[in-house]
Amino acid sequence: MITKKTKKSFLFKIEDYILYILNRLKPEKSDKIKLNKVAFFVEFAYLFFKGKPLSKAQYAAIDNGAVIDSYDPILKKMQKEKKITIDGYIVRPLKSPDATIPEEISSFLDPLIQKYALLDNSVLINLSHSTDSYKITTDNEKIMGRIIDKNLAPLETFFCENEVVECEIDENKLPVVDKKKLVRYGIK
Amino acid sequence: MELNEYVIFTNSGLKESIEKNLPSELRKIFDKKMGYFAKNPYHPSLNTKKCNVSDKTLKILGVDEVWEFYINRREYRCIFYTIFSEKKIIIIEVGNHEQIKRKYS
Repeated sequence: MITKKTKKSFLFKIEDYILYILNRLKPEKSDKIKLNKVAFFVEFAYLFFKGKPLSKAQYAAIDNGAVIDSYDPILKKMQKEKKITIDGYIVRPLKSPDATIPEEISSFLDPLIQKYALLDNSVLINLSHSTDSYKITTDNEKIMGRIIDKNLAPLETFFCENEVVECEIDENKLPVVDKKKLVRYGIK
Repeated sequence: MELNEYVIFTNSGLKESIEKNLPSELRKIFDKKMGYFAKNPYHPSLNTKKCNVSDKTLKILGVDEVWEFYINRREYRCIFYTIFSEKKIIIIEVGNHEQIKRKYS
């Protein structure tokens, strides 16, 4: 009998994802805000371009922007297990992730981590405030603390904002619609 | 411009082609975006752009404005008309960049 094996998608455990990022942050820039924002932007970029989640992490929309949900107890647990050190806001890794990260994943993630890690924390916070995912989750900052639905990632067109093409329409080719033949479009 | 509570229309042929041509995951995004648009044309997720169309053409078309937004990245976009007095949004085309460019430019 022939059995078809399907390749299972790689999915980071939260702690491995945190360790992966921390191992790529410069010591002087390795703090809780940077970690949270880089984790959010990199995972949402991955969702946007690849259409599947990168980690088991969930993200909460708080005043400071998007953060790994319950990041504080997660980091404290990791500190207890001697995976990281925490000194105030500074977080440093003591280990590498347990899992082996596939090359195609790391080659996608590393440039993104580098890109977002270069930004100041205030810029990262503002950027996360401006994401559609954050605005929709918080209803334009009216409701805080909700989990950001990962299905909102495809809306984040800013990930490819440089690619957006301006409206190029030859107005002479626009069709005249027969208003009698219009049907209501039902949104499901 | 106030487009709150506008009703979205299309012609029956285009409705079928939207259902046929848009991959299911994009269809969901498209529906979500149209829902946002119907409530608020400036919703942050839309990046809606008003197309530069002359008053003369708008008069011929019998509409007030022509808009577009991207459904997903730069591949798929939606072009639609608005009619203020009838509170109507009319979807005239949904397709990827090449399809629309071929048809309208």
